[in-house]
Amino acid sequence: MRVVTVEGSEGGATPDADASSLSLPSLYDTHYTRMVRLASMYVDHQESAEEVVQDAFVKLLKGNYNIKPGSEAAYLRRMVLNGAHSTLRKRRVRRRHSPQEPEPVASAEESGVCRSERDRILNAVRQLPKKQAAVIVLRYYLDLSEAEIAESLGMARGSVKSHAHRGLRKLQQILGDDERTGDLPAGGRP
Amino acid sequence: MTEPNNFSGVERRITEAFRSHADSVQPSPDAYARLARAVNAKDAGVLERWGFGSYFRPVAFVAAVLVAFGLGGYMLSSQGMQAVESANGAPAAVDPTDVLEDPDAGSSSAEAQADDESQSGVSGSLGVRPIGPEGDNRGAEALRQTPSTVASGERVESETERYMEGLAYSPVGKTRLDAAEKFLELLGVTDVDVIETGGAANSDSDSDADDVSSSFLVRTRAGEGGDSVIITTLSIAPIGEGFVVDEARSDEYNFEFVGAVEGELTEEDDIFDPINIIAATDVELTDDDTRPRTVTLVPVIPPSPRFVAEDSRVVDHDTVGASRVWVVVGAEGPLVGRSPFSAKPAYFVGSDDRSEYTVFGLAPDDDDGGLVLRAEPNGEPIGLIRLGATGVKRLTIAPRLAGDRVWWAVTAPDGAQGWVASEYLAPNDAFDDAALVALGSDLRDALSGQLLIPRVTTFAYPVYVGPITDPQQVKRGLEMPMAWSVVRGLGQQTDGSDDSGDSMVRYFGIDRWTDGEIVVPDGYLDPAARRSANAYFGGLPSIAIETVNPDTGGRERVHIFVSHRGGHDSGLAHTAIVGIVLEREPINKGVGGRGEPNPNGPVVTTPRPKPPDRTTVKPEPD
Repeated sequence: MRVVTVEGSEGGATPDADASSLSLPSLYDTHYTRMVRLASMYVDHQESAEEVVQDAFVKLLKGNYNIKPGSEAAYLRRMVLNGAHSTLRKRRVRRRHSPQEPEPVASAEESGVCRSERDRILNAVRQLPKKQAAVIVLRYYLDLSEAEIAESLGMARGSVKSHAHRGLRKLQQILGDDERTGDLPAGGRP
Repeated sequence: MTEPNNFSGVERRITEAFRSHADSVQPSPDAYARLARAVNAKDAGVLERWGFGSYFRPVAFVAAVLVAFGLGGYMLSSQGMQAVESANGAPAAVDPTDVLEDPDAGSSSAEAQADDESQSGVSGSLGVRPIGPEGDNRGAEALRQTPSTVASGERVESETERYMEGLAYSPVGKTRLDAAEKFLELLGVTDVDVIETGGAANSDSDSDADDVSSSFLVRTRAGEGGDSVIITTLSIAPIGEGFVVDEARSDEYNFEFVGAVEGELTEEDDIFDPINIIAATDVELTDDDTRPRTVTLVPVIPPSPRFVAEDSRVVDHDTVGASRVWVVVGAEGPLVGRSPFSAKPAYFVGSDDRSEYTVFGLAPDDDDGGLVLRAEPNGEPIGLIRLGATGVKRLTIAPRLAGDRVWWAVTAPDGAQGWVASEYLAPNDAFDDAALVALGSDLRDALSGQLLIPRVTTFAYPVYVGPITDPQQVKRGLEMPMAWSVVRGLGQQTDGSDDSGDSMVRYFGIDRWTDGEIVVPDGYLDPAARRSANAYFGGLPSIAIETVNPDTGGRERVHIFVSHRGGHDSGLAHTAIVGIVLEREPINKGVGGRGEPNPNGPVVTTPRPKPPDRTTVKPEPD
């Protein structure tokens, strides 16, 4: 039977890295920051990103999963991606019905050429279809292998390849990449 | 990624942007405390919201009454009793891949289910439907007796419940499952259970084309011993709504079905052409392309001498009996087991299987000298069936999984009965000549002086096997021009319907190899690569052509696997290409696409001879 350990529920206790693999402290220590960053690739508020990750952690720890040791990351990634997409979808619905809701605005400190370029790319990624965006983020942010991405997203490795290809192509179009080296020849093998 | 690096600029920008963004994100100082509170408070929160919140008290009351009555009835049922029994035991460890489409799939919580449905856009996306005569209860029996290799009983029960709920108000789900069922019927696959493991319909603007596809597990019904094995997985997509070529030719699919459109081909229709589909890149049909079509299903089984053209089926709207024609875009081998080739028994599952089989695919110098007959799956040897023996008959006992292989119960030609590894059996009629004289013969012998007439009985299919680890000695002499004859001949294997005479060449990138060199490898040194190749090609000899891919800078090699029929001195030697393995070195991602240097040093090669004029090598007419 899986044991869920929760420590330091008050006062910001230090996570215990030696706890069992499915204890909150060790999960937090190992995955939290990474998952928040992953979620933040999709949702533009850090607060929202943390909510998504928090939900994923709660779901993982309280859900009736029997997870093999070492597979927690794949579960968390999947849950975070689903949560982030869900958040985005809800936000889109909200904006459709209340158009006055302001878009997030970067602070003066954050603005600048680098930030502008970065936001432009992140926004482009967020415009991609769900699966393409997920593959791109997992590939180029988390640097996951094809097999790991396939496991995380529950798709075949061939699908990972095709989503990556289409996503990159779409990003290239969106970003107007002038460094493009050229498309595949018609009928050529990718 | 085996993707060629055409996007180095955008890849670099993405990577930099991601890293820059990630560096700027730090968890809030009280993140851990908030998280811990959330974990602790989860259950209480639910009670508060749904049980004691003033708004929901009436709802809670009605729900409680309904649950009380419903639970009472449920507890009286056998399923309920089983659920209670199973709940008392710890569930078996579940591999993440068993959960398949979504980690939520294994959860019985209403919240997880609702979340799942809201994200997929489909209700009741999980389900089990037995295929077979009305009233046949074996499928249900199988569900209750599912062995641990397939899934836990609790999970199957949960899936069944959820599916039955979903089916009631989800015509989309029903249609998908009907389509999968119909395809299996068309393929003659009977007595199996079809479990929908995932699927989604377009429900919002961020869905992409693949969201309309759906995937299924196909597994045998439980036999007398209560065994049931997953035979294959199946993916389907509706024509006209996002059928994506790339999906249909994943390296992992051991067989697939592609359609051919009747009449004049257009650019959009190319994907349904059995030749062009493998030459097309990333073609999608538009949503409004709803023309009725007749689709010829052509099994493309990469290495397989089992492929026979008669397996094609014509399917149209009426045949399928649905408002859409669904195309099977892929099917994988057993989830357990290394060899996708062994998924092929899907064709032959069922009590009506009266086929006889031939032992093939073993190397002639195999230690055992034949196919070992065993007392139990992967058990003690009790006999040997020699390579090339025909007349092996299957017993109507469900196949079993053991030692990463699918095992069939058979009667050997001498009457002995036992279990054999199914991957070494092919139907007798898969071969034109039952005397499989040289299936395992050495290609180099075949090449010594005989004109090779490529006779492609199936479309070869590129499979990424692994990194190049086996530079081998080069054989000189006639081998190389002969090899090129094979390669060029392969390029002429078309459907004859248009001028796409070199589509196979384009697909396999043969034209890229004009500056390449030919090697004749003795085999793979890398164990994993060897195992994979052998799983597909059973140790058949191969020719390899090697070069540097100018697009990526990486070293690549195409292995062409050949089976040889007929003796050298008979003057009737025929060599058939039965498969192709595309092997690539690991290629650095991102920066320029230059490949890693071969850790084994340069491959010993000789310059490629001038290929013969393509018109001088004619494929043998069918």
